[in-house]
Amino acid sequence: MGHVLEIRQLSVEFPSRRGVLKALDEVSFSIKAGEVVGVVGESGAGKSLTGAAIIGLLEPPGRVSGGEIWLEGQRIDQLPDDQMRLLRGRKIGAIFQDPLTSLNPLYTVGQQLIETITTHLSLSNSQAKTRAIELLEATGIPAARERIDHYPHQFSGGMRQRVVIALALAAEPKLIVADEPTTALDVSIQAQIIELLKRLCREHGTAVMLITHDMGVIAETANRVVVMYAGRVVEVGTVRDVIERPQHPYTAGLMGSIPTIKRVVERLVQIDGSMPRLNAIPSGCAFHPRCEHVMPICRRERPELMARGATQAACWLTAKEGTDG
Amino acid sequence: MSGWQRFWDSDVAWSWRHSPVAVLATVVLVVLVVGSFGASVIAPHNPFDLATLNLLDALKPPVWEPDGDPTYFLGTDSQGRDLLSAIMYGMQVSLMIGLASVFLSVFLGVALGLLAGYLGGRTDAYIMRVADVQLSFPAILIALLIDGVARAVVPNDLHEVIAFPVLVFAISLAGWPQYARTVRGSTMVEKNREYVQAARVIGISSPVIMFRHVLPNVLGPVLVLATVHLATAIITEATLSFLGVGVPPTSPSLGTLIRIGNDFLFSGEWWITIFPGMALVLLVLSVNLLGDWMRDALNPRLN
Amino acid sequence: MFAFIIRRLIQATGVMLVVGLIAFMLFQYVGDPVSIMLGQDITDEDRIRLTNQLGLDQPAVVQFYHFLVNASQGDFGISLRQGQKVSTMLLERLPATLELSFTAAVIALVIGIPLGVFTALNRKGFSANFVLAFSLVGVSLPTFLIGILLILVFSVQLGWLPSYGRGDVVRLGWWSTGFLTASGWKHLILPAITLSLFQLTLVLRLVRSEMLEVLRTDYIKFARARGLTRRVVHFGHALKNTLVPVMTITGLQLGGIIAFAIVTETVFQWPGMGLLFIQAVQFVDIPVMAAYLCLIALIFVVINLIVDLLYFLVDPRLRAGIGKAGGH
Repeated sequence: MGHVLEIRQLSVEFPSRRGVLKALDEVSFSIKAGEVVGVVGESGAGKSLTGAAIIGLLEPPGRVSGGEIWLEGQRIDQLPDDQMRLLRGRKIGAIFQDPLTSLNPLYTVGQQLIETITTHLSLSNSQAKTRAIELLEATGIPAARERIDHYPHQFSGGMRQRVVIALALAAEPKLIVADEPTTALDVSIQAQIIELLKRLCREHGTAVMLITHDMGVIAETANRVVVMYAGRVVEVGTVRDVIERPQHPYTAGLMGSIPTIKRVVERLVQIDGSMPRLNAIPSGCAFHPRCEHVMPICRRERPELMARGATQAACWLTAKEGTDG
Repeated sequence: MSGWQRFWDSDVAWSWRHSPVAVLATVVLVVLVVGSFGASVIAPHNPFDLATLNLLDALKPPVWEPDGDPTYFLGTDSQGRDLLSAIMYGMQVSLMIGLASVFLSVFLGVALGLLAGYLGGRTDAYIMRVADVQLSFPAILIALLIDGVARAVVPNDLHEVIAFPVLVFAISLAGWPQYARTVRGSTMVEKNREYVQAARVIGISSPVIMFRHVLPNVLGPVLVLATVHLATAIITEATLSFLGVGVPPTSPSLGTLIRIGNDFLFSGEWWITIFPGMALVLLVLSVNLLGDWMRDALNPRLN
Repeated sequence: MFAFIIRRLIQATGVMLVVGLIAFMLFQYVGDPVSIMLGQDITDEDRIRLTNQLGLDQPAVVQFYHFLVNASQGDFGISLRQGQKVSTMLLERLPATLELSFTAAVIALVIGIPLGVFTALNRKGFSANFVLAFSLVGVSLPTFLIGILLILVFSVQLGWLPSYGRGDVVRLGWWSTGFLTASGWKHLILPAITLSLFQLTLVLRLVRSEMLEVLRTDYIKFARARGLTRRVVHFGHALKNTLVPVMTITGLQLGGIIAFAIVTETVFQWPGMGLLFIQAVQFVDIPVMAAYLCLIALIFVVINLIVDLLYFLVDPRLRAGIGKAGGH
């Protein structure tokens, strides 16, 4: 099949004081080997939660309440934690947003690298150290041999994120979940990090799930993109198709709201209203209160992902015009 | 919706209703407070009225023991005083001193914290230095010192009169730094807010407006601190009284009762010291439980 | 780093000076300086003569200076109650208090830290919650009551352990130790447990809350995401990061043990400095009070300094100084 990751109808809920909140509602998509899939949406849309569910690090009381997660043909959402741990780092790597807080300030970079390497590969300490230096050099850190004994606070933000990437790739995982890897960095550094990530993943054939709210990063880096809204997937397609011919009104609004040199527009598109809170998700299609094409069926029934043109969109408009290409 | 109903629906009240520990602690506390402050009305005997004391009733064990007497439910001490009544009156003293100390502490701490936060600069540095140094000294020591000095400076006949204020002052002195710290932090945050700077530009006096914004913010943390502090204050007073340097013997607190009873431990009249001890623990424990629950309930970090 | 040490030393000296001032004022204005220094039974003539001779009519600043000189050599005059030199009395009782405090501190740490870690790692477990409940009770029990209860159970009812005094001690130079005799240990157990209990619960709760905070951090999340074993995550990372702030706070708290010993020594009639101090307060024995105050302040200041230094050594961020970002 060639799919590294397959998510089918994944649901995550949070029992709370006021009842059960459904944070992810039947999310489905897949990632092929070596592919970069961007997961985009506003804050709170459920992107990071999806990533956390895949790694198996959902914060309690959150829990997977339905659906399946398949990694390389093996089902992982039901695995007990100690088996999941064997996969983490080795099959799935993770990169988080803030490189400063991702590294333990009391240990040197080298110590953190070596412990990761020796956990997954049976190398001696000196072999691990050599490999750690190679990793640092591969991520573009100068004077790696000396800096391996430095502490995280002695690196700048961009350098730290390179260390984080080195750590994530240390055991050569098949899939990397990158949660807003550039958001906390200076704009000038962002491009470098993105380049690095792209290059390394291409060289190692690693698939990437790139979670971000920045469409620009997706445009540059991803092959396909998944658009999320209020815990649901609203559109899936190749980056080119989704950007140029979005089928879902929300996606269209997103694309229209990005300033671009290519098109001359009078005004940037703005979508009225805001994404609903988890305890107040509208019936039917979650986007219907803000949609200018809303129809009666939108309020009643929730649309599934339906193919239309090159992309799949969860919208009743698609069904209506589904018959004409 | 009436004010009471709004409160009942609030998160805090919900959390209280669903925490059996908090409810239990509150009930126990209410019982203790009513029992102690209403001692003059509710207590079965008056242990201070010498006329009612009967030496023949001295050293009676609690009612469930073979020699027990139902009129003296928890037994009597060496002078024939009913232990249950003595405990009720004693708890009144303990509570009053504890509450007074906490109030004074909060007042001092909040005032100094506001001052330090608003004025900043050297005043702030100075106040915080004192707070830091004081925080590193245990409360007992500070209280003992103040008490000792007062004892020396004041002539003997005035000792009883000043004993209470000195005690309250001594205990409260040890507690103000923690409030000052919290309030100072809040004040500094508010000071940098735009509305304060805007008001300054216009020429409006900002302190009053600022305090009106600071106080609601610090109310929660101060309340939690005060509850835990109340427990500490009660223990400190009990300890001082136990050591003989607390309340005067004419108005014994629970600590005094324990001290008196301690002498009878080896001769077998254990109840004279144990029951006041249990009352003290019950009081402090319920305050602590309430404080613990409050800390979690008022924690702004929601899921 | 040296600048840091020097600064702390200056602060420490400042604190000591303030304490010295308070002690000096105790001498001067509370009670009668002459009788403080020479005892109470002297004639009026002697008093006038000595007042001149001892320079008590000199300006306060000069007297303060003399006081400081004497105090730094440990000379605080003569106890009003006992008639002995204060320094001798204190020195005689110092070992008792120090041994008791040290034992209590060890108990508090050795039991408190592991229990704190245990309750942080096993949030839902029954035994963990039981320990937590126990710790709450521990905080609610005043030290003297614990002592009384222990005496009631182990001395009065069971008769296993003695309830007062220090037992047989062995003299090593000017130090007297109870560690070398069985009787010494038997007498030490109950007071040490009493003294340690409050600190133990504080340590337990502190370690627990710190560790829970640490377990929420991003670097722990990242460590888990990298597939590190639970043991490495909990004990290699989380524990180390917990102990650093805990260590400093605990160090300061343990200084408090020496002061808290006052209560324990009273309950168990343990012949230490604390008992001496209480007797001095009751009797208004100024020289002893002042001397005890200065000694305690000294111990506190020293502990504070050591703790600050330790923090410096353990946290690499402080060592390197701030503002040292390297490379891009």
